[in-house]
Amino acid sequence: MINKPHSSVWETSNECWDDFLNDPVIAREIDSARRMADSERLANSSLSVQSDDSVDDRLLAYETPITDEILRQPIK
Amino acid sequence: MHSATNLAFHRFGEEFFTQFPDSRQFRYLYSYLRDLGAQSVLEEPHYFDKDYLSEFAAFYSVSSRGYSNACRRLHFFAINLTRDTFISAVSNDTAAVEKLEQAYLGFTIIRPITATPLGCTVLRWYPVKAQETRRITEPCRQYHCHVAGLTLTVTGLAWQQQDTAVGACATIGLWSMLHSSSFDNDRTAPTTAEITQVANRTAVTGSRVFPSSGLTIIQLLEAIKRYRLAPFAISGDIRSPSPSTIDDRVERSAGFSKERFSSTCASFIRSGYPVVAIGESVGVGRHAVCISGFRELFSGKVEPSAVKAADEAIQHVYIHDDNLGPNVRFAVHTDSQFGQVSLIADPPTSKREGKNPSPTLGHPHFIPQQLVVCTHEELRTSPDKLNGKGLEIGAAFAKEMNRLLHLSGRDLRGVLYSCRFMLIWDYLGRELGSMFQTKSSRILLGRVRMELTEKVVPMSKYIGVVRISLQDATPVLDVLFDTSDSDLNHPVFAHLSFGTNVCRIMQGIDGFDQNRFGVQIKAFDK
Repeated sequence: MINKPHSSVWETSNECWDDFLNDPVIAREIDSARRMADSERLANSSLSVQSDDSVDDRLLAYETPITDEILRQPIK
Repeated sequence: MHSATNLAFHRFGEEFFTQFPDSRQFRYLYSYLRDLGAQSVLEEPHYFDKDYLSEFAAFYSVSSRGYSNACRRLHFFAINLTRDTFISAVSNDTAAVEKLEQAYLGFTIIRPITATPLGCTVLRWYPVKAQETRRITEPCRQYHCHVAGLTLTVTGLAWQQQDTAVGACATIGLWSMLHSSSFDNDRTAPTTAEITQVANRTAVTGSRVFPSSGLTIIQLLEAIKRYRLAPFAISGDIRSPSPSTIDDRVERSAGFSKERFSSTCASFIRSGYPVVAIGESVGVGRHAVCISGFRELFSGKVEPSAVKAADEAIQHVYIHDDNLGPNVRFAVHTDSQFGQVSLIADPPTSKREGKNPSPTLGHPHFIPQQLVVCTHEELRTSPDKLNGKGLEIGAAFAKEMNRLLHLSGRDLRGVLYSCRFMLIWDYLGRELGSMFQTKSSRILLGRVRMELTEKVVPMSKYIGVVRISLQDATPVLDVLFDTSDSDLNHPVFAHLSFGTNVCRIMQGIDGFDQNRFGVQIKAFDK
């Protein structure tokens, strides 16, 4: 596979997708990581991994209500 | 009484346009067509236009001014069209027909209204120069014009100038929206006069219907429902500080964050639905325009572990503004007072200087504060819910992926989310077909399509597709939502995992075992 950036997530062809999807080395590492997490009860290790902490605020933006006053404002 | 008149053939140029009022709209039309390479104009001196006839019946016919019921229709060509060439074409000379078809740039209706003559206008888009950043114009459709038995076709979306008698800017925006490709096969688009009448039928304001003094958002929404379509009204997420005076008590939305504006517009426009943006034309007042397209832009770098909207990077949208014209390029800025999106007319560099700079320069900035969209009735899911789900799923996927990468000692990765509505057969047909287009993928494509058909419960006509991708736009996951249910239930039909490692990551996401993502389809070679 050729790892080539696409201009759009809606214009992609599987001939140039990232190797990450099916890389057997990564697959083994993921399996091993999961076993390690399960056996050593490291499930909370995710807490130590950096994550996008802006998500909650951004989710709120998608819940913005529209008020009656706005609906009744005239548009010339 | 009308009398028989010859078709007229004109040379395109400034001189031809001197017969029209000196307005920004005519200057824009001239400039746009000049840049498209227009050389000649074919004029039908008497054309009965459906929209104008409706306006005439509703308003102009009873005016003492004695308006005519006929318009002129002008067709523009990128060749020097002579009467002889045209006669060859209507005589079925194949070469002449092809020549005219290839050179056709579009048409405009000239109404017999002195101040605002520009009626229905459809113009071809500029050729695409930057292949790496596609212009997304899904709402556009084909218009066929018939002249003396010759059919001329142009792809675009209808625009017209508001006449303030039967239609104001919001009416024109809705009129353009109802012309969209999405509704092309379902119905004939209503006229502006019909829209104004329908809007005033159930949502009364006490104002007279004609001359139209403008509509409220409620009236727009009611008009959409009267056409058996589903309206969505979306308010900006950035609020101005609390009002302090009684006069300022009406709560005003300051506008949209870039992420929400771009994601929402892109979701709809990719789905074939134009968006009417309502807001503040700075220094002028409340205004409405119709967004008919946008220029796609690669999202750029995604920080490790971040979740980013795939369309957040959009820099340009294309707008039908009744004060300017069709397909006007506006830049998306966020340097306004509260960081809200502001749209500024932004012609290409080559059209900013010289003898004839673009007439869009200096046009007031526009701050969108609400968006109104109409979709098919069967589509019940709100775009906000779908985009919210996209962000939520993207965040859950990124968190689990990075937990495993971290434990493996690998670099963390960010992801992109993007959402759109699609007809189920379009997703199974065109979308999957383009993803798995190589000969070696045929068996896989067939299996995925069969599994979606036989292993998943019958899916709704329209589905909401949430796509999670890696930074280089490689898709990792498509989640297919039922759009025929309420937002609260928000059921998922299925999800497609595009790699074995995606399946491994999905197993660790909360709710995976409880069918949160529906039936799993393994869209990769096992």
